[in-house]
Amino acid sequence: MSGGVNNSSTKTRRLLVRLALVVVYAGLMAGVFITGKGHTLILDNKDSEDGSIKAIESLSISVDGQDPIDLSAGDRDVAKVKGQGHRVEITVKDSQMVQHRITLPLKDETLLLSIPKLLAGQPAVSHFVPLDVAPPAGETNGNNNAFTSPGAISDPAATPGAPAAPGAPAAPAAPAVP
Amino acid sequence: MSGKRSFGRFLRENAVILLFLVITVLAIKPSGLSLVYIGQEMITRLGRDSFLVLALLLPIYAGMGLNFGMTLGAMAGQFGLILAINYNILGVNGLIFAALVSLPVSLLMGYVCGAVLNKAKGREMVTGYILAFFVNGIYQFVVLYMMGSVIPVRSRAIVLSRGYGIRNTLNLDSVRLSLDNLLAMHIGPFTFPIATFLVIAALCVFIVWFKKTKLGQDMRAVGYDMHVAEASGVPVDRTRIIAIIISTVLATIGQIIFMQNMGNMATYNAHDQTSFFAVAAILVGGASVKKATIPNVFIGVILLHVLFVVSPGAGQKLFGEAMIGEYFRQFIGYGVIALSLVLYAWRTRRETERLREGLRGGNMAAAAAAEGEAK
Repeated sequence: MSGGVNNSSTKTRRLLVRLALVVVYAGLMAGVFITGKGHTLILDNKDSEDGSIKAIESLSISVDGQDPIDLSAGDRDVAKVKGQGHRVEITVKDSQMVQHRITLPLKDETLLLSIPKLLAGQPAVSHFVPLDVAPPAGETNGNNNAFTSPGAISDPAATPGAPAAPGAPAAPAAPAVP
Repeated sequence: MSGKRSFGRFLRENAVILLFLVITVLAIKPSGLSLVYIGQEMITRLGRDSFLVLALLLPIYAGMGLNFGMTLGAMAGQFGLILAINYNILGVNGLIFAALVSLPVSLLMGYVCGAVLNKAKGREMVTGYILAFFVNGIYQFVVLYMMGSVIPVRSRAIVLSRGYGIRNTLNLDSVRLSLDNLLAMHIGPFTFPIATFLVIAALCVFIVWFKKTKLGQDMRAVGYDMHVAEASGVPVDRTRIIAIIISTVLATIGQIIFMQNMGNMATYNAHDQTSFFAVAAILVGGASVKKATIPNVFIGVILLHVLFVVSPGAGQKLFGEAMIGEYFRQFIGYGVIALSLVLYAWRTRRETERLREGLRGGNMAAAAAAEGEAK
């Protein structure tokens, strides 16, 4: 009887130890994931969308002690970072260095950091939505035979809106509409 | 007379390593490479390959020969690396994440491989080799069809343009050299990847410790004589499965270390040559199917890779074509494995014959000597 109880308690203990190991394993994996997750941070020095916060004329920014990046008003640059929390050091021209801490959301890989908003004390990190890249001039939506028959459109002037080839005579200007 | 016999025995026992040493030394001069360059390459390649080759030791202790099934572990490691790249986990974290993800897969693979090899006792090497081909098919199915369709893949950079399946070559920039550069030390013209060497040293310590444990002793008993071990109460099948599981897990970690050093991964065939080069290295280092030590691993990695480094240059100089050197690599790799296996078979047969002759002739001293040599 006593042996049976001991056996049962050993089994329970073994099960608990195994469960604990699984939990530790999952926790370790989650920890490695969170602390190692890479993000692309776009450092943005532009006016805010509504124009209420103006871009900084000239500044230098460093993320997590990386080499400082100089940005003028309207500039953007990129920093690669690892993990969620980051130290951002900004030195605006002719003034002291300011330090901020930012936290990045886990699920987004590419994020936009608006430096003017950060300096103004507003939420500065947002999801970066790349603009839909328009096809280069001369490249269409694929509804023609330009790919299978390259050179089929030989006269750029024949394609409305297409730029003239270098060295080609300019197409006659359209008459001005009153 | 005795000195002559012992010299002959030394030659027989170290035929592969001596032959390789001679070829390597002869090839260094025509290659035109400086000793500093060759030295740095050796340091890099020791870090890159040693872990994988060390993974072969335990199955040899357990009498299972050269574990060609380690390719299964390599595939599991690559699966983990694909996921690390997919989730953009950077640096050493990426390597640890890959190892953690692939560990359950390699445990399962190791168990399956061990169980299959138990059904094919005495023919473990060829069975492991063919098993690797079979699992390669499953790996290709998972990576080529299931990743992106069933297994979610976020990164568009690694998916084929059709929307599922992983690209042929993966750029491992996010984890490249992350372990090697973690504690890199510059001494003179050489750079030492200290962190990688520490990991390898830790594995060596583990192997030395493991051999002294009960399980390690059981493994050696099984390797020495399976039937005697069974009669002594050692669970032979279980011990053999554990040896293969540990080898497979080590091969997984080894492949991750190998890949972080290379910096890119041929998704569908990076693992093909893993076992082949690891086996060639340990054989070149003087190991045999039945006997291997830690020094065999390091001697083998150095010798094999010196030849790999110098052979294209030597080929260019001697034959006017660098590609000859590339072919030479393949030729040497397979040749060494074949030569080693032939020598092993020849030596075993010769010793058995000597033992038999000694017993027939009633010459107990000769029989005892032959038995001692066989051991």
